[in-house]
Amino acid sequence: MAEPVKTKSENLSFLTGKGEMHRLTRLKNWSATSIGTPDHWPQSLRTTLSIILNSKFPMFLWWGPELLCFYNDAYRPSLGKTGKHPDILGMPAKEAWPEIWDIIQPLIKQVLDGGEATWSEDQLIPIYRNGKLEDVYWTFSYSPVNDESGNVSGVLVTCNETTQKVLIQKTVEKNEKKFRDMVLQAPVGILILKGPEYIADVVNEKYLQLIDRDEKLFIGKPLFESLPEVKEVVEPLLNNVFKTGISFNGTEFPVMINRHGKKEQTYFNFIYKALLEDDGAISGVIVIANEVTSLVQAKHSLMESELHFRMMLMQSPIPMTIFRGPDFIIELANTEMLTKIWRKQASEVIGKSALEVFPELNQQKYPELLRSTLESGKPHRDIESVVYVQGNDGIKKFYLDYEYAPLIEPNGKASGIMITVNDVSEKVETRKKIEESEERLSMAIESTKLGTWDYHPNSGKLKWSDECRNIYALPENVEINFALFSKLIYAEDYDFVQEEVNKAMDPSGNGEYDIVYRILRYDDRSIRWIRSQGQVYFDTDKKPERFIGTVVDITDQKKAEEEIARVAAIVQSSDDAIISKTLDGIVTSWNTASERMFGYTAEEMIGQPITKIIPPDRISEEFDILQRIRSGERVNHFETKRMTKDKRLLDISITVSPVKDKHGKILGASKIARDVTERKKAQQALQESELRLRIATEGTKLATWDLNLQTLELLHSPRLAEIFGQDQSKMLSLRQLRTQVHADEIVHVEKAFATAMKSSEQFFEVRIIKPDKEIRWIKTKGKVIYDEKRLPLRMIGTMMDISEEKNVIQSLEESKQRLSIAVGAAALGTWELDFVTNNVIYSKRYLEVLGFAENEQPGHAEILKRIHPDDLELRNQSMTEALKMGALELEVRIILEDKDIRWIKLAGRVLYNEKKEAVRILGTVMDITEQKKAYNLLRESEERFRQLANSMPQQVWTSDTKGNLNYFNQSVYDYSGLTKKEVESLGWLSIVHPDDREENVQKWMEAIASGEDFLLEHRFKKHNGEFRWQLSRAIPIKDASGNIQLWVGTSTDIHDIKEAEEQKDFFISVASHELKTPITSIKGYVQILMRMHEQSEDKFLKNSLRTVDKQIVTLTTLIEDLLDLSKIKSGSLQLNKEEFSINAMIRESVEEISHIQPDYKINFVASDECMVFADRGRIGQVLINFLTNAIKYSPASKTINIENKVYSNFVTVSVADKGIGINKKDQDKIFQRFYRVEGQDEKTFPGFGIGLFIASEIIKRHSGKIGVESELSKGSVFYFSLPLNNLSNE
Amino acid sequence: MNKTGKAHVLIVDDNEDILFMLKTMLQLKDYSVTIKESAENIEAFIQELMPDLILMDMLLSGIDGTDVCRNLKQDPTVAAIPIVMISALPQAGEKCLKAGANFFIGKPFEMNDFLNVVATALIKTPA
Repeated sequence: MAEPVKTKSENLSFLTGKGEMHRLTRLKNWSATSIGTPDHWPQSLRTTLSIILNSKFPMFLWWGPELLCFYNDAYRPSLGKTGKHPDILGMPAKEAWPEIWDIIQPLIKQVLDGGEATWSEDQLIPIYRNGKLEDVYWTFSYSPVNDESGNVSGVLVTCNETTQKVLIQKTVEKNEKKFRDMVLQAPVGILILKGPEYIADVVNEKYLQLIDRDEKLFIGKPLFESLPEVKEVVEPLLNNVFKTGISFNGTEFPVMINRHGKKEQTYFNFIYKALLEDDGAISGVIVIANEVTSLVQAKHSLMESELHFRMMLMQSPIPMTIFRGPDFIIELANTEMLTKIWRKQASEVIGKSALEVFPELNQQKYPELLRSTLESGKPHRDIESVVYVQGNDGIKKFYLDYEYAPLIEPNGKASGIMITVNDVSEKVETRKKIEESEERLSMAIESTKLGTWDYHPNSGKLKWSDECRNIYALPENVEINFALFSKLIYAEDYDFVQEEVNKAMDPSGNGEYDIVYRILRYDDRSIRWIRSQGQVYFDTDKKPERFIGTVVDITDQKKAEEEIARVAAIVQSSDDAIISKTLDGIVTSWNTASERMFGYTAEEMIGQPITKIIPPDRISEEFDILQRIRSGERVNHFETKRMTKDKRLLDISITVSPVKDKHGKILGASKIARDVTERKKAQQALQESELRLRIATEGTKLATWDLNLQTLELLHSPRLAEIFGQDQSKMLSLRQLRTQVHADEIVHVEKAFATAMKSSEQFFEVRIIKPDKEIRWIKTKGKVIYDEKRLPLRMIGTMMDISEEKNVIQSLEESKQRLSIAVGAAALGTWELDFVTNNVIYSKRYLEVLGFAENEQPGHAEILKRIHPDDLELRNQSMTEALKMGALELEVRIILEDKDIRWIKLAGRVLYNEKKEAVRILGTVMDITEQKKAYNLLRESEERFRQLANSMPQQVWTSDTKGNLNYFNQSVYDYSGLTKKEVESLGWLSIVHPDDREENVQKWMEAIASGEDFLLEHRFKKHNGEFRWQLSRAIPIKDASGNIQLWVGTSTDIHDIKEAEEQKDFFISVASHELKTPITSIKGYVQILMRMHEQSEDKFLKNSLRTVDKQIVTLTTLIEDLLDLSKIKSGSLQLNKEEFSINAMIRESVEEISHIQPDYKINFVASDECMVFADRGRIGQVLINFLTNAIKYSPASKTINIENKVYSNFVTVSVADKGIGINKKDQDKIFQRFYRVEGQDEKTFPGFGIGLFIASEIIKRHSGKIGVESELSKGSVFYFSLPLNNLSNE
Repeated sequence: MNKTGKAHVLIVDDNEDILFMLKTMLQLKDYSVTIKESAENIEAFIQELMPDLILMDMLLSGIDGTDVCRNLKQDPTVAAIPIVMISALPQAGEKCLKAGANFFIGKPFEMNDFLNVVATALIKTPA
């Protein structure tokens, strides 16, 4: 490019300069433009350009009609780095600024037209620069440039790009908007106050809500105009912030606000923060307010409740305390706790660690419990816990119910424990005492074997104690009720008991109940004697409300009584000498045995001193014996020697007992002299030791006493008062004791005292009467203590209640008396006949026996008239004989006035005078009618039995309880051809077939031992040598108490029946075998035919063959069953046991049945697999039998379910069908031989009914179980079970 | 096996019907069958015939099949031939097996069972 400008340099000074635009304008080829080269430019342009190019202010100029563009260096950056610069220099405006031409053209026109300058500030005028259209903000002015002629020739643009400023401003605005938005949306109340008057500038909704004000009325107004009520409190704070710029934080600040139509106490958390301007000046205050009223209120109420809680705790009547922290610092403890439990002052414990205050707790479980409560935060409760606490008054044991309640902090952790304690020591101790005493009572009851019962007549409820149940042998699980109680009464006593019960419950009576009767024990129905005592309590309506009492088993007592009677009988029938004598030793009775033993007759001895038979060197013995008898003692089998009439010395053992009247007064002694065999010695020793034991056990209850003989003041142990039935704490006087002594005994007491004064020793046994009228025997022994002048000072002694001992002794004495004298006197009438005068003297009983009235005085003749005419001869003969022999014994009948015939037994002894003439006869009479009757009855019944037995074709026999056969009827002799003697000598076993004897004896002994019926088939030898089968059966005959009395047996000839049976079984066995060969043949051919015609189209043929095949299976089964039956009968059913899987066996059977009965669906649920040891074929047979039955009896349902289960060593296989079912009554029977359920439906089904019998036999032989559960028309479940534990046992 | 490759079975039974029936069953299965109606000279007969299997009733008119069986099993020349015995008598099975029979079939029986036993006997005791 040429540089034309250079040529006119002097004229173009306005273009000189260093700037870029200077240079560019200078170098620009202007010749092509409408204004031509610079040298042609008007001055106005030159001047303007000079200003522009030299100005540091951005300037632009459009010039001329084309508005050619000029600009300076300062403007240049606005054009960007690439784009318009430098191309637009000298370019017409329209071409240079096409993008903004629309914006600037009106402005330019405005300037060109009116000559008015324009001003635009921060105007967005996007321009194309830096390769793109950029948003550029401008502040600019268009001003007219006049040419020399005064016309506007150009437009000067002075401009400043304000893009950056505008953008910054925009960001600021945006931030402020953001801030306001934030304020407005903030969840806390925010208020911005401007200026010292605190004009509300910005406020958010939250704040308005807090103060309940309307925004319109609030914004732009001084704060305290809107909220005058807060001025007083808030203004100083605001002022402070406003002045100092220091923020104010107010927490839970109380403010009264008028809102929601009322004045409210509110609480706020405030932040007042100075609002700073850019220059750091404070222009206002930002208020951030958060209302915490409800929180504060909650806090207040919490504080209040805590206060209440503490007050409650302190005032609680229950001991309470609070431990804080892991050291269990005692924070507080109420008075109850301090005084009752801790027994310490508050100052000693509060603020201290509990474990330090109570170190004894460390040895107990409590520290650990406290710790775990604190750690786990879970409360701990304990009742009746034992705790030892060291108080100021020592260690004390408490029973406490306590609770540890953790005090949970807001963080969920326990910071302490509140302890409440309830002292239950007294309650527990009382209860323990009651328990103890109850225990003692129950022990006492137990030891006496006393049962108790409690009957509520209204509800009918009856309760029995365990012992009561024991007595009745009533198991725990059996409920007792009145009906059962009644049922357990022995039949004979039933009416009596019911009567007594009714009597007791009769409101008009006193409700007392005390009876002795027999019961049947629940378990074995054995008979027991019991004594039951009770009392009925009536309610206010006089209705029986409760009936309580005790029961005690007195069977042994009863037995003992019987035993005594038995012993008496033995003694009576023995050869013992029985003698009675007075306390002075004068013989009063002398029995025949004595006569035999000593050689003296009764006459010679009665009225004589006993010393007559005592050897002279032993006379002193008798004094000792008498002394002991007088004091109530007895002399037991005293071994000594006595002398007979012919001066022989006898080695004898004597027993001497005091004989007392019914008041216990000793009248004399009875003496038994006997040959003491070893057995009797032992028996007696046993009796003695028993007695000794009883005395010893009672003897421990010794009382002691001390009597001042001068003042008669008595001191004694509590036991003495107890013996006398008085309060043990009482001290009784001698006078008091005397009032309780039985009137009859006072003399003994006095005698004993008198003796004591002489001998210094006192001893007596007397009866006393207790306040409850019970009479007891006491024994006391005393010793006198003398002073130095030998004057009696005191007497000390012991006392014992010997009632039990006395009773025992008495009962023994009574039995002795019965056997020596009493029995005869009481039961016998006595008589005396004077042979000379024929006068008869007789006792009351005598008259009674002979049927005379008490006031009658029949003479001898009249008495004789009573004798049955048929027996008169006998009487006379006997009397004649008695006169010779000296003794009479006679049983005759008498006829009473009312024609009643009675049997009497007369006995007598003839007395002779010195001339040996019979003078008198003394005798007894006894009514023996009942005995005779009983005897006759017995004889008759025995006779009847014999006749009956003999008339029976069966062999009848009886045996004693030990199994010795003692009677055989005529049939036995007829059959065996043996005589009675032969049977007795050879023994009945000789009749039994030798092969059967062992089993016979064994079975018989088993029956005898167990008391169960005897049943046996065995062969007896007939008189012709033939052995025939007999069915023998024996049953035990029991008495009323259930004791076996004898066995009655029969043997029935079953030989022919048995033979027939055997033949039948043999026939069945052979026949069924013979049947098998033709069946095999038929079956074989049918199956061949089926095979051959498998492909045939002939359906009839195929069906027929299948039917035949099926029927053959049925036939085969029947034959097998018949064979099995005969095997079972003959006992030859063999089991071939092996171990096999029950499931496999079931599957095979199912397959087999499915093959024959494809219509039926047989489901098998194989649950428990197990191996059994059994006969696989036989078990399969059982299952097949079940299945065929299920099919046979389920015509409608085609589903059968098989299940197997293992349970407790057994595997059970069940087959369930939905068939016709079986009636309950038939269910037991279907396993019997030839039994088949009957009914309309059942009859239509075929079958022998022996299958189940065989199945049952097979299962029995495997020690298994078989059964059925069924309901008519619902179906049946047949099952069998096999034991699992006998795997390879056999 | 004989020349035809069929197993050769000898049936000994004195009951003609059974004999024919067994024969038919075996022929259905393509066995080659020889029958004999009595136990007369049975041992010599077998030594001569040397069948692959002997099928024999336990009761053969007056002769106890178990005796025959025992003798055959003691004869080394024929002991290897399997013997299947048949009977209707109870407890016959045990008796036959004791006498040395390889198999026993009780009467009556299913054809299939019978044929299975024969087939098994032939496999179990290869000649």
